[in-house]
Amino acid sequence: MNRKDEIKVWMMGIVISLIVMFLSFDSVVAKIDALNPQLAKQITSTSVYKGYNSIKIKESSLWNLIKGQDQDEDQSQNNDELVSSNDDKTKVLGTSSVTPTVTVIPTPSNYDNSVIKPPFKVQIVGDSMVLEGFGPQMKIKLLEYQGVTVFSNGKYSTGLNRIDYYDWFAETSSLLASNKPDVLIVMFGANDGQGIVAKDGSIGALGSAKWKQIYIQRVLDYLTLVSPKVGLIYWVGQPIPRTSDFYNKFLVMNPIYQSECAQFTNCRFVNEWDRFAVNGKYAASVADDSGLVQTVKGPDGVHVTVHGGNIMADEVIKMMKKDIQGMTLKNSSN
Amino acid sequence: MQFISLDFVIFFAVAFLIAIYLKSNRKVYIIYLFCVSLLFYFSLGLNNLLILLASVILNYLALYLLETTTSHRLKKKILIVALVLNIAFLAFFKYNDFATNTLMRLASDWGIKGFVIDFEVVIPVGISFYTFRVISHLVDFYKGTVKKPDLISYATYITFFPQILSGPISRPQEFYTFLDNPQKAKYSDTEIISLIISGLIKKLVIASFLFNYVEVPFSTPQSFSPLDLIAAALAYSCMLYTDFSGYSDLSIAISKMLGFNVQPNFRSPYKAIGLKDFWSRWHISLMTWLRDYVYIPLGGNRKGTVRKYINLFLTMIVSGLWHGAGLTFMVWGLIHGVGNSVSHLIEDSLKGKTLPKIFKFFGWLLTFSFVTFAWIFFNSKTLSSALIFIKGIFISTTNKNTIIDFRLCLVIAIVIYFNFIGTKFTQYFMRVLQGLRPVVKYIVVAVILYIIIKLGPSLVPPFIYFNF
Repeated sequence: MNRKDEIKVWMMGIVISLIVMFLSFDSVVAKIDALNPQLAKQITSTSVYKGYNSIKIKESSLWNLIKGQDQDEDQSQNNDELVSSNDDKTKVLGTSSVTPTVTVIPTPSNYDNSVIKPPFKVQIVGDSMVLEGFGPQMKIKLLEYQGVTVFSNGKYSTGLNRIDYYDWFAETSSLLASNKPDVLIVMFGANDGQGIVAKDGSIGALGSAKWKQIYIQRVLDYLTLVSPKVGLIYWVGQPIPRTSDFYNKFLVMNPIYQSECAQFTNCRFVNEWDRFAVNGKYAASVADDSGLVQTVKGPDGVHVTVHGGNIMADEVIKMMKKDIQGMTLKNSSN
Repeated sequence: MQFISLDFVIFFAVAFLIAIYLKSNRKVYIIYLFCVSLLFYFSLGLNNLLILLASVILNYLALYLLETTTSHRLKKKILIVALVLNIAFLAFFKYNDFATNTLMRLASDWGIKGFVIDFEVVIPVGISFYTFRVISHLVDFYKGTVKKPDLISYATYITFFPQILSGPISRPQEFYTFLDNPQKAKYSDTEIISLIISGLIKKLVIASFLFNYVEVPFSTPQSFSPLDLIAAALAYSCMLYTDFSGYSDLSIAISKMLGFNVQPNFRSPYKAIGLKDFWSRWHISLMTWLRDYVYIPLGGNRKGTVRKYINLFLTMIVSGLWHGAGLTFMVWGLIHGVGNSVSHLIEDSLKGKTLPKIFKFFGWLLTFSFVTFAWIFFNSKTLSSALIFIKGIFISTTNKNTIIDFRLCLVIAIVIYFNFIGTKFTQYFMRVLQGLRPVVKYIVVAVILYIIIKLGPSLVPPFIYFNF
């Protein structure tokens, strides 16, 4: 092929790319948003589940003009209702370094967690940690107990931050409605270390006080949503990671999970950070409860190995045993 | 930077445009390709790049020593030392985790308390592939089948970005033939289009779809029914094929556009009858590499029939070890080692005999089932989870089917069917494209790409072979 023909091929590539971009206009806009956070102001905070391919521009969506109604607004209204219904019980977050936020202390209405005993159902939700390492080992370990049914639903690259990409509020609601679990195990955070958009459209840059404020509210909203629907919630904190990037992020996130969880009578925060740290520092190999030492982290230093997953799951089960009477292993003689 | 990402598309569009103008100037083009490859690899991390460059420089030094040494015995010693160092280099990164965990487990079993190896090594991306290129270059130079190139040409061969992450493992002679030719390899636009479309459909649409049916059953097989587990095993079998051959299609297309012709890495492997046939169709560049640098040096078929089967067995064990550290890969290699030897034995005994069609069908079914069964070990995190998976297929812990559905069965059927008609279909597609007027061709390709993007997931799982 001579140079002239090759340039034709290159040009053809460009033309084809332009046609494809034209056909999938939303994808291009989303990518531009990702490159330029300032443009993120235009995106809605709740949207469809098609990831960065389908974040929609609220003001310019032709579909919305034709439809005459904004589905996203409907979603926002639902969320607003969720908070306003609990307006009578408010509390100021005294310990937070951000602007004090008025939050809600909901009371679990449907469950009395003191009566949970086998047989009972457990729902696990979260990001890739639920799909690899922790989630599978949690499920395997729970299934070793008599009368325990486990549902596990994870989604890669998701969290409570980018609910425009994957709406864990809607997804969890749907799972709780269909599976009707007694216990909910939650693990988020690994993908949440990025700029955040609040419901009102305001943006919190990563590391800013605004970010923390919005994220606290997000966690609180999530717990407010799920708390009345299950007996017990175990919010699994992030174990100490290898890289400084995630280390600094989790150092902010874990206290948020802990403090927000503490506001709900049926929520328990599982401190995995300290369990994985040796003398307060990151360790590549950690002993499980039997004393066996193995490597605990995958190549990225965040995801855990099977051994790491077992250690994490053991921590959750230890807490569950304190709350739930009569948890007996299947092969136990008792 | 993955092949299927906007970052890579932009990167390659610019790289290709410049390449068009520099291709005919050999010296400038080599430097250019080397720089682009370094830039690409740098995007995966500076540490990775430094390790790669260290490997390039040290191995070039070994080539220099081989060239300047006159004594044949000394040459052989230099080669052996260089090969051992390269294998140790690869093993250090690949098997560190496995070795430390084994040592700590043994210490625990023997009651030694407090024995902790707090030492972590991150595996550089593509190390298995570029180390094999390095080794083939050393051996070929020692044998005299390839000349010592200049440092930049050598570095360009090792670091060539379309192939560094997951192959194909092209040979030095083949690479330099195109590198030194001002015209470079010829290609047609329809060939490139069909390779890119094929790669995208396989990876973006099929492998990404099948991914949803694989991850959970393989990590918690105890909670799935026998039918679900069979479906998950079949889904993984098809996913691995579409994922890796999809990657290979894209890699070959990119290599061709830069002027390097590359042999196909897959030739409809799931239509193979017998394991001998299968391994001549699956990951061809690796299997020919193992044939030339492991099987033949072991003696091949030159030392009698029994040694031939033992050599085949050992070659598959090496293949298992190359793929990863851990008992699962060793068992996978062992299974294929036995299977491949038996397959050769059967084929040798049936030589010259014509088999009825029904035998061929059962031969195909047995081969596909065997390969799929062995993938269970390949994809399981631990040996015990692989055994639970296999046990679950035969002994039911639950009969409630949760993953098997019509769509999954349909996609598996399509993947298998395309192993039989894929080549003809591609040829037909290329003929149709060639017959179209340029403007119509652009629109048709754009619409196909648009449909692929729409059918694909919002988040593409990484290529499986990046882990090796």
